[in-house]
Amino acid sequence: MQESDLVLEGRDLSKRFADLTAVDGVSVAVRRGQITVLLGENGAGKSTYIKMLNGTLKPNSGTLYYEGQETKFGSARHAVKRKIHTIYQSFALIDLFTVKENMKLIFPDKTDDELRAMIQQYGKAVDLDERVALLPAGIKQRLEITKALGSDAKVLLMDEPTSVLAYEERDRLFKDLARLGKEKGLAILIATHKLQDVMDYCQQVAVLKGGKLVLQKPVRDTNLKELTVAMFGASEELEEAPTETKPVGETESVLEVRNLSVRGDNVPLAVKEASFSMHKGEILCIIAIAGNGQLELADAVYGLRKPLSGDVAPGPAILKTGRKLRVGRVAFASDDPVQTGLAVDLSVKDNFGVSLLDQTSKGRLVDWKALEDLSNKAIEKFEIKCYATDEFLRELSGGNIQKVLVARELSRDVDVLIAVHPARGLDMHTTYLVYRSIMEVARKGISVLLISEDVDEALYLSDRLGAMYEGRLSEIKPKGLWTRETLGSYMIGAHVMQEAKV
Amino acid sequence: MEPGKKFSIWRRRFRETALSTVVVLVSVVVGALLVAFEGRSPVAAYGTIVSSTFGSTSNIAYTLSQSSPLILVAMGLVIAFRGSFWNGGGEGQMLLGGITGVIVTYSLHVNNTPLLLLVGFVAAFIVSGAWASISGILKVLFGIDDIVSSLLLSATAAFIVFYLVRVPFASPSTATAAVLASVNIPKAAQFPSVGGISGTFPLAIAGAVVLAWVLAKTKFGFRLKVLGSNRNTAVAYFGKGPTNRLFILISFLSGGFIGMGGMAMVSAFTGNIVAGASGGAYSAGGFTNSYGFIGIAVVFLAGLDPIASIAASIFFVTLVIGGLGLLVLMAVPTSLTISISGVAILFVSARVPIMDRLKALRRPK
Repeated sequence: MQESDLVLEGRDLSKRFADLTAVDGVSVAVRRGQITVLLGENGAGKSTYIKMLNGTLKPNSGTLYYEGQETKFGSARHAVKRKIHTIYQSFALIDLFTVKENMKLIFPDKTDDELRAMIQQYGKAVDLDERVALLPAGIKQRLEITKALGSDAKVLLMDEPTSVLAYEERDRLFKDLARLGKEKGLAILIATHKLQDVMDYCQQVAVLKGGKLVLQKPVRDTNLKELTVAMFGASEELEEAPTETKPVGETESVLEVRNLSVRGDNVPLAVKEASFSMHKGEILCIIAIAGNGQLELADAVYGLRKPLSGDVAPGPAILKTGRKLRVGRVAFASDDPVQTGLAVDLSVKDNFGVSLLDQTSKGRLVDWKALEDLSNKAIEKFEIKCYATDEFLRELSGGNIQKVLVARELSRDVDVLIAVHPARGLDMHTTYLVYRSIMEVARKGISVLLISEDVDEALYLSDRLGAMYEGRLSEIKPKGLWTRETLGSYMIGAHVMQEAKV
Repeated sequence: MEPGKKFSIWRRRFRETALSTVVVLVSVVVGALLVAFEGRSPVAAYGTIVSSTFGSTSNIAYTLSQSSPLILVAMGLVIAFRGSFWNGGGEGQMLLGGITGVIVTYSLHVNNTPLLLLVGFVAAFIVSGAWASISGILKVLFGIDDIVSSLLLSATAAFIVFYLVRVPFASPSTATAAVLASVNIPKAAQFPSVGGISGTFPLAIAGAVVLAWVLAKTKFGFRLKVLGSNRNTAVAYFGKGPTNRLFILISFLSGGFIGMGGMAMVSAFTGNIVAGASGGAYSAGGFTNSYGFIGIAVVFLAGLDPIASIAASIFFVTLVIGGLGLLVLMAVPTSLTISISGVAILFVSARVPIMDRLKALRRPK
């Protein structure tokens, strides 16, 4: 590989946000005529890196080289002028405009026929008078690419381009990108968390983990296994995991999920026929990379989302008590506490009251004293930093706000707890506090459904474990039957690729 | 719990009260500038406003009496806004409450004041509440924006009332006049007053106290607060059905209190409803004094607190009555006092962003 092939290069780029280091001294180069992949889990620093390359973010340290020259971009617009185009997950198209109107904004002088030819050059013909809102994501993406190439882009940066695409569209996109790279000498960088995107059409791969570069080589010199280990390999040392294994499946089930299919916000089918049962005192973990249907699954099991088909029913352990498994008997910690779960404009005490009110007050009146006591207990146990329970929740820090939700839901007297990555974003110490409390409620007999994105967390906490990929749930197995590697490869869809090859 | 720095809920309440007071003062100062700009003496103008509202015991009594419909309207809006039901239809609901009171007391043919008032207020509550709950139901069932629907239904209510005033319940004496008035309520349905203060004032105060207690002490008040603050959270933990029913109940109670405001207006002051008394034939402003809109400024100035809303109501009523005083005694157009209320409303709505700016300035980088 000749040096002159390097078009855009970041050297030792670092970016810190407050006390979080998002990218830590990473050097990645984008080469002419090639597709380079930036691979990593969510939060590994891929998007931040792209934004440093295109001038949206200023690196705290490190330098940028463009066509051999040390360069600083003042803004993303500046980079576009220098022929570096970026396509994000949310497209820069005006939905209410037609295809033609959108294209005319960029190319005011082109005639209809020229526009049509331009679009067609990179794929299928598109009706120029169609409104963009009505087009599938794949076509919109194609329009974005057309816009970039029509402006003679030299570098094309794409953030998670495949996350909005169906499988066939994805294949097409890569074929076209590979062709464009060769024909036009375009340098392409793709950020993705899907291993499947890497192997067939790309030339270079760089793996980020926790903001650090852990692997960088030509794709032909690596393999699925190596990439999987690079993405998910053991991170920090964990406390000794509890060794006692619980007998599974002997107790009667608390909750039965049968052939559950759920519509997603962006995809027609976010969960595809998931079935499992939950048992008393058991921690069942479902692990997946963000956007594989696990949030929709949690919502549907809790009842916030109506399933398309299938059902969630109380098991014999509940039925024989004569109780109903209604909202009040299931605790729920969502992945976004500010959106669903808390009310940041109310006081800390009020927020504890949201789901602990009936537990602390009988009748129609609020027993503020009892609520205050229970809140203080939870605040102490989870080391929530606040001055008084009368403080507004929004006056607390983000981590403490999340702790309020977790602390509250773990304080409830329920049959089932659904927790969606309850420890995400918390420091190690607090994370273990949360883990211990989850194991504690399980010991008390609560059946726990844990949705996780973290392999370490899943292997540490769960009794039984399953992975999810593109809405499909793997077999649920005791955790001893999984390894970090088998789990990781299911999460990134390696099983689908292997099946495809056979 | 974090030791060291002290947090006091009283300090926060003091800060909020101080801020509202500053808002009032600033609007008074800006009003003074407007008066001076007109070439009048601001001191004389404010002197007139104060003397015409608090200058004598009878003036004080009248000001307090006049504030009672506004206090009731404000209670309806406190409930609504705490539960995030954006009720923009106070005018129509007040008008409906008024006409219901007129029709019921007129048609009953009894001479028992407590009975007439009880039936009148309850009927006004139910009719206006039902009207407002249309917006609540539309929101829950079809997601139709509650501000828009309540505002549009307000105009619809006005047309219904004008029909009733013109045709079935038109006053025989004014049937041919340009200004149309409804029949009068019977004498027995007039709210008795003590020392010049209408009985509607203690009624409104009692309403505020009861509401304050309900909001602070009951699970209903608590759930209302949660729903108002984050609907997703309410749905997740109270269930979707109960949350929707709670929202509809909120809209009903909101309209109900505002309807009582209309009934208070009829039974304490007007005795009937005049169509098109001011601002064009289809305006309800003549009867309602625009309390349906002023009430919005009142409750935001009062931070959605029922008790503080009493004080805020009296402040705005002072401006309304004082404005009439200015017109009569100094020939200053009422648009001036309307501007003063306008300035107050402006600062009330700017309060939160101003606070945020101040906080951002104070916070060390």
